Order: sequence, then structure tokens, then C-alpha cells
Amino acid sequence: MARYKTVLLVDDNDADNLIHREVLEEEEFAERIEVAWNGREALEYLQSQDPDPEGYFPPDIIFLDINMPIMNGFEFLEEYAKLPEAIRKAVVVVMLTSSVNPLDKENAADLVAGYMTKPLQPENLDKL
Amino acid sequence: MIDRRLPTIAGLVSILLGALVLVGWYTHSEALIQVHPSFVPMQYNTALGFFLCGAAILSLRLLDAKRWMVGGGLAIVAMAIGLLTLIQYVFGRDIGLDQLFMEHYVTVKTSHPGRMAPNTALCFSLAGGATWIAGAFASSALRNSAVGILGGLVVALGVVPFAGYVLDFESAYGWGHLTRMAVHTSLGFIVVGVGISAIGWKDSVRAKGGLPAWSPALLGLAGCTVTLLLWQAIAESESRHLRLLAQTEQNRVAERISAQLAEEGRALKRMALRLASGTADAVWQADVLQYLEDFESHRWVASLDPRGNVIDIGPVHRDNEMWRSEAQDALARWNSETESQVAILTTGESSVVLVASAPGDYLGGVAVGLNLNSLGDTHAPDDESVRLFFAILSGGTVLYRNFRSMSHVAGPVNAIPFSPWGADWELRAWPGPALAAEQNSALESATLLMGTTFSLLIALVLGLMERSRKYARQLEVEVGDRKAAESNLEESLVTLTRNEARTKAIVDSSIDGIVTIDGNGTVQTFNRGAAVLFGYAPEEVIGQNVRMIVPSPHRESHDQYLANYQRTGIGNVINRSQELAGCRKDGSLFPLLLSVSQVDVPDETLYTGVIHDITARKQVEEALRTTNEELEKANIELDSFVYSASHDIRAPLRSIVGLMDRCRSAIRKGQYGKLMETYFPHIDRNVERLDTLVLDLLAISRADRMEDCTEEIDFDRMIQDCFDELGDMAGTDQVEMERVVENPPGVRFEAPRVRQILNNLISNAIKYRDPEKGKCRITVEVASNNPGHATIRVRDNGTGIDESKHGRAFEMFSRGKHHAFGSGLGLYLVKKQVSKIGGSIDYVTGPDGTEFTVDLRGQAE
Repeated sequence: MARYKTVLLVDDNDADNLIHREVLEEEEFAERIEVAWNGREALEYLQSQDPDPEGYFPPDIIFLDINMPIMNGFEFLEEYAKLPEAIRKAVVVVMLTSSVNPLDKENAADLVAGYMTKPLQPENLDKL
Repeated sequence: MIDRRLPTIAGLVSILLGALVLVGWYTHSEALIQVHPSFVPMQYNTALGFFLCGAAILSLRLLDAKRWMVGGGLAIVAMAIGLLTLIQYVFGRDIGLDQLFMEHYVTVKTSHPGRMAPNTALCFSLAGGATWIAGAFASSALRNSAVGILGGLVVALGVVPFAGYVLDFESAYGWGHLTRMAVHTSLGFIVVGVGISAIGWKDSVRAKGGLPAWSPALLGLAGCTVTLLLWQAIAESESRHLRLLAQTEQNRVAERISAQLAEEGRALKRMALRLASGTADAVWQADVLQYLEDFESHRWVASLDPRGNVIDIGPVHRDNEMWRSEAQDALARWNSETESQVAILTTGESSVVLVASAPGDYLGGVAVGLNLNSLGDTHAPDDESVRLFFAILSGGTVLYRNFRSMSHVAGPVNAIPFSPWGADWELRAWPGPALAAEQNSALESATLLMGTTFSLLIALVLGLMERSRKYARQLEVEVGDRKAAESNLEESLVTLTRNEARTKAIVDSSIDGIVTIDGNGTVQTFNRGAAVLFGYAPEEVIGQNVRMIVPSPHRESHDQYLANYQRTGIGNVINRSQELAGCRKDGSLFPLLLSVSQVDVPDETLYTGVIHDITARKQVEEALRTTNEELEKANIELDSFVYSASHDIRAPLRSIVGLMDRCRSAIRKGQYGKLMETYFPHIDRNVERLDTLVLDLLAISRADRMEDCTEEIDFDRMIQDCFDELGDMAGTDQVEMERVVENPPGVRFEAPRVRQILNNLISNAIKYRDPEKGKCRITVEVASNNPGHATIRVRDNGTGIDESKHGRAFEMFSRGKHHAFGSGLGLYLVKKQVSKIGGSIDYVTGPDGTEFTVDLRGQAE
């Protein structure tokens, strides 16, 4: 039985997305895995609830990369905070990045539930 | 000049003299006591005094000041003997001092047995006192002069009596009827006085050198002594002359009285002869009356029988019986047989009987009662008409005197035997006022007055001369000092002038401005440095308020600052350095460092400001600050670049790590096909991405160091080359490229930079093509509308740049699309190269594609 229903991976790197998807599947972490290529797409996904309730699976957990084109992880979090409470209420956001900038970890601390370094390791998932 | 052994010798002589006389008194040696039997003796106390004084003087030489108590005691005892004796004289009392030690058996010319002469007593008081002062006080001008002058006085008091002895003036050594000073006493005082005076002299000379200041006083004292002696001599000579005159007068008086009595005697003799020849009674009576009439001195006349008895006495008088007994008493002592025929018989005071007998066989005689008072007038003692006071005495009884009382006459008396008609009388005489007046001359008083005055004048003149000499010496020294001082002053002035010139040169040569103001803010000095800094000539500023070189807002408040500081002593400027601004003559300002110090000179306070121009420093500081800011910015950029670069390098590496995990997992599961289909291509792309990234970083790094080599560019050729280079890039087969090129003539560009710009813009156009629009069309235009410039336009029909990237498209690591494998450094590099060449870049984007416009500034030939 999977721990979560839906996972949203937000990353521009298809290799990473591939790896993360396979790891999550192997671990049976979630029933569904959705991918957004940048912050903008992730926002759009979260906001697509109303127009298309059929094909929309509200994520339980979001793995968020920082360095992305168009809208990076922090820009996304800024916009995410503006979303209605109803959408955010049941969602856990976890940073998943290859950034070595300690500032990024510091800035993220108050905004997200966890901070992980790529690639995603199965044992890290157990800590969630 | 004065033998220093004098005091010792004097002390020894004094002791010796005293001792000898004392021995004389004990051994009854009158030669020692009196020298000569007619001389006054030296009293026992006097000898004791000499012994004490001598011992005291000697002890001064032998004992030091601390142990001189004994000597001082001796001196005080000697002084006390003198003072007590004087007191006895003055108050007429006898306190038993005179014969305390010795009963006096020699009293020649001594008023009180054993008592020393008053001048001797005075001498001992002075000598004892002087010796005590000499011992009790340390050498000082007052002590030395006191000792010297007192000693001199003692000498003078000794010299006068001694000279009196030598010249035989008694008045010189005897005061009135009082005890005389002995001859060896006077000599002793001369010695003692010289000894004491020598002490004062010696110490005075030792203390100050030269003659003692009181030496004129000593000279005056000597002059006075000589005058006194001269006066005594004159007085003595006058007194002798007077005595001589008096004697002459006395003889004349004796002759006169003798003559009168002789005449009377002869008359009486004639009467006796007549009576002897048998004169009748009536004739006798007539004779008596005639006789009494002729000689008014005759009181009575008596006829005598041959036995000497009174027969008759006349005139008839109630006193006849008294006369008869008087006559009978006198006649009882008369023997007519043995004595002369005429004789004077003294019967009582002023009563004399003159008797005459007839010669031959005695037949009788006549006696007459004489009243001697009829010899002359009786004078008052102050009767100035009297030439001679005289008295006739018989065996101590005054028979007659021409003055009222014996107490009225005084002084030396001259007595001569006086024997009229065999009488045993004495005629004593004293000079009368008339005689004295006749003899008296002004010489005596004049000598005394003039001598004293002259001596004092000489002393005064000598004293003044000595003083003026001293002043002259002082003046000489002072003039010398002043000359030296003037010379010093001149030297100092030269030094001062030199120092001032030096100081001025130092101040003037200072690059820093040095400005001095007074308490009112008025400029006192303004050196050359200040003149250069402010553009004012010193004379334009000196005397003006310093406000003129101070800019606002301090200019308006400067006077207030100064006043506040002077009132409260609290200020922000004094003894500090602070950066302020100065106002030049042309009104421009410049930064300066001002250090103000307060200078307190007599009667005023000055403030000196040292002004250092800090314009250059400020400029350097500004440049430094700018550089620093740039550096900081660069540092931040570098930090950010390092993080970004490391992230962008790490990101593909981490992906590869993840992919490798997947590969291993697939291998374990035997899913080999997945390796080739999925994982390896991903690994390849990530490796490629890494490679591109590294190359781009290298290009950026080189962009800064690219050699500046310009050349004319064939843009058409360059564009073609770029396109060819990109030939193996994915999607080039779907690209249609159009070139519209107009090369700018004669303009040179840095070709490598231009090439990089073109390469990146073209590769971006290919990377961000829109597959949905079919063929990728790229147009590159090069125009030369602006001379010296080249305008490059690269237009594509790609996906366009995301709106959110506007303004950030040229930033580092900024990628436009998620699926593009760019390094995010391309546009950054383009922008950098454009900046290096000197130009601008902009773009227009939309759904139909993007157009970049680059304006490049070349170098015209």
C-alpha cells in the first residue's frame, strides 16, 4: 500500500525526473507521480483543480527543485503561499536539489517541510 | 695695619697691671699703688677691674664662642664694678663696694676712701660692656662698630688724664674735688681701649675688607680728645695767668694796707712822744679828738703808763669800760721793753689794737683800737667790680675780708704772710670777677667749640668720603654689570632676531598653512603656505576677521564659537585635529585638516591653526572607496558565480550519480535494454551539458583577457563559418538561414569577440526553435547605417523568451526553457563581449520569435 496518493515532482532535468520517478515507484511511495518542468507549470497544475476535476489529482507531497528556468523553486514558493488555504492544507513540500549554496537551505527552512539533496535516496524517504 | 696680636697684648698688659697693683696693696708697696707719693693711688677695685678686663679680653682669644661664658662673666663683673661705682657717685650713696676687699690706707687726692675716680668707673663700664659685646655676638657691622667705638672712647678717656699728668693739668685727670684717676690707671685704659678697639677693627676688616665704616667716628673721637686736651691746656694756662694776676693784685693790696697802717703807726708814735713830753690833759683830749677825726678806723685812743696800764681812754663814750678791758687784754700780751715801739696786737675778730711807746726810757705810750672793717668795702660774691677777693687772717681767725662769707669764694687760694708792725698775719686772695673778666678770653671756648666741631666735621667728611667711595665702587661694579648686561642684551637681541628670522623662515617654508588669530578672531599672521592654500596674499588677510577663509555655516558662527570658548573654556577645536573645509579667495572650497592650539603670551591669548590641505587624500580616499565598493560587488558576484557555477556543474554530476544507481538497479534486475534505451542517453546528455558549461565558463573567463586585435570583418563569411561550426548541433538540418550583409567600410572590430557574439546568438536561435512552427528560420542582418558602427540583427521564429525573464535574460545561468540544455551562460557572454567592444544589445520577443539587435562601435581607420 503506497504511503501517498499523488506525488508532484517539480524539476527541469528529465534525467532527474526519470530517476526520482523510478525510485518512488520501486519504493511504492505513491500511487501516482506527476511531473512539472518548472515552478510555473507546478503552479498551473495546482490551480487546474477547478477547470478539470476529472484529470486532476491533488498532490499529497511535492518534491521541489530550486534551479529551474522560467520560475525557480523560491519563486514558486512565493506564489504558492498566495494560493487558497484549501489547496495548500493537505500538501507537504520537500526541497530536492543539487544546490550546495547554504543560503538556499537557510532560506528554505521556514518554507518547506524537508530539504534533500539529489539524487533521491530510498532511505531518505523513510524520514518523511 | 693693625697687628692681630694687639688684643692679646692688651689683655696681658691689663692683667699684669691689675695683678701688680693688687700685689702692691697687699704688700703695702706704695710705689706700685701710687708710682709717686704725691700721686693719687690706683684703687684696689680699679686694679681688680683691670685684671678682670684683661682676663676677659684674653679669653676672647683663647676660648671659642661656645665656651666664652667664663670670659663673658668676667667682662660683666668689670662692667658691674664700674656701673655700681658711678651709681654711688650719682646718688651720693655708699653701698660698701669701695672697701669691700681692702681697707684703704692711701687716700691721696681721694674723695671717698677706696672709691675709684668717676672717669675710671665710666671707663670700666665701657670697656667691660665692649668686651662682653665682642664675645657675646657674632661678627656683624653693628657689633664691630660698637666694639670699635667703645674701645676708642676708653682710649680717649685714658689719654686725657695721662696727658694731664704729663703736661701737669690737674683738671685733666680730676673731676672737681672727686677722686683723681691714677697715672697708671690712665695708661692702663689706653692699652685696654686700644686692645678692644683692635678687636672691632680686625673683625670689621675681616668681614668687609678696607677700612671699617666706623673708622671716621674713631678719628672724630681722637680729634675730640685732642681738642679736649687743647682746651684743658688753654684753660690751665689761663688759670695760671689769673693766679699770677691775682698775686700781683694781692701784693698791691698788702702794700696799700701796710702803708695805711704804717702811717697810722707813725702818727701814733708822734702822739706817744708828745704824751711822754708831758702834754696837758686838755691837750690830750684835743689830740684824741683830732686823732679820731683823722683816722676813721680808730675807734678809741688810750694813754698808757710805763707799766702798760691804761691811764685814760677816749673819747668819752658809754663803751669806755669795754674798750678799757679790750685794751688791757691786748696790752697784757705786749712787752714794751722787748718789742718794737710800734706793734699791732690782735685781740679778736676785726678787732686790733695798735700800740706805740715813746722811745728811750719808757715814759708811757698810746694805744688805739682799730676797726679793720674800715679798710675797704665789703663786696657781694657776684660783684663784678671786685678784682680780688681777699681776707686777712690771724692764726685762723679772719680779721678782715672784703666779701661777706668765706663760702662765697672757691678755687685755688693764694696765701702770703702779712706782717704790718710785726703782726703774724696771713693775706689770702682769690681772683675776683673783674680780674677773671679781664683775663677771660674767648680762646678757651672757641678752641673747645671749634675743635669739637672740626673733629666732628672731619669725621663726617671722612665718613661721607668713605661712603661716596663705596658708592663709587658700587657704581663702578653696577656700570660694569650694566655694560655686561647690555652686551648680553645685544647678544640676546642678535640671537633673538636670528631666531625670529629662523622661525619665520620655518613657518613660511611650511607647505601647511599656519594662521594665528587673536581672541577677537583677527588674523595676526598668515604664512606663505596659507597664502598658497587660500589664494590670498598675507596682507589681504592680516588684520581681517578669520571668517573670510571659513565657509558657511561656520563662517556665521565663528565669532560666537570663539566667544563661547573664551567664556567657558569648552570648545571642539582647541588641541584637536578635525577635517573641515576652507574657503579660497575665488569662493571655491577645499577639504582641510585643522589643528588649533592655544598660545598664552603675556596679556593676550593667541590661537594658532595649522591647516593641511587634504584634497589629494580625499581623492585617494574616494577612489579607494569606489574600488572597494567595486571589489565588494565583484566579490559578491564571484560568490554568487561560484555557487551558481558549482551548482550547475554539480547538478549534471548528481544526475549522473542517480543514473548510475539506476543502471546498477537495472543490471541487478537483468533489464539491460533499459540501460541502452534510457539511462545511457541521459548520461550522455548530462556529460555533454557539463562539457558545454565548462567551455562557456572558459569563454567567459577569456572574454576579459582577449587580445585587442582589430581587423576589418567580412560579416558574411563570419556568419557562414559560425553556422558551419554549429553543423553537428541537434536540429541544424531543420534550419533555414538568410543573410543580409552590408559590411561597414573601413571600420575595424575585434573579430574574436564579434564571432563569439554571432555564434551564441545563432546557436540560441537554433536551441530555442519552435518545432511546432516547422522549419526554423533564422535571419542575420548586418547594416552600417551609422558611420563607424555595425548593426547586427538576429531574428528567429522560435519560442520566444519567457516574459518573466525580461531584464534577466543576460544574467548568468539564466536559461529560457526547461527542455533546453543550455549552460545559461550564452547571453551573459554575449552581453559581456558587447560591453568590451563598446556597444549595446537589446531584444524584442514574442510568440512569433525573437529579434536581437546588437550595435557595435568599431574603430574607423
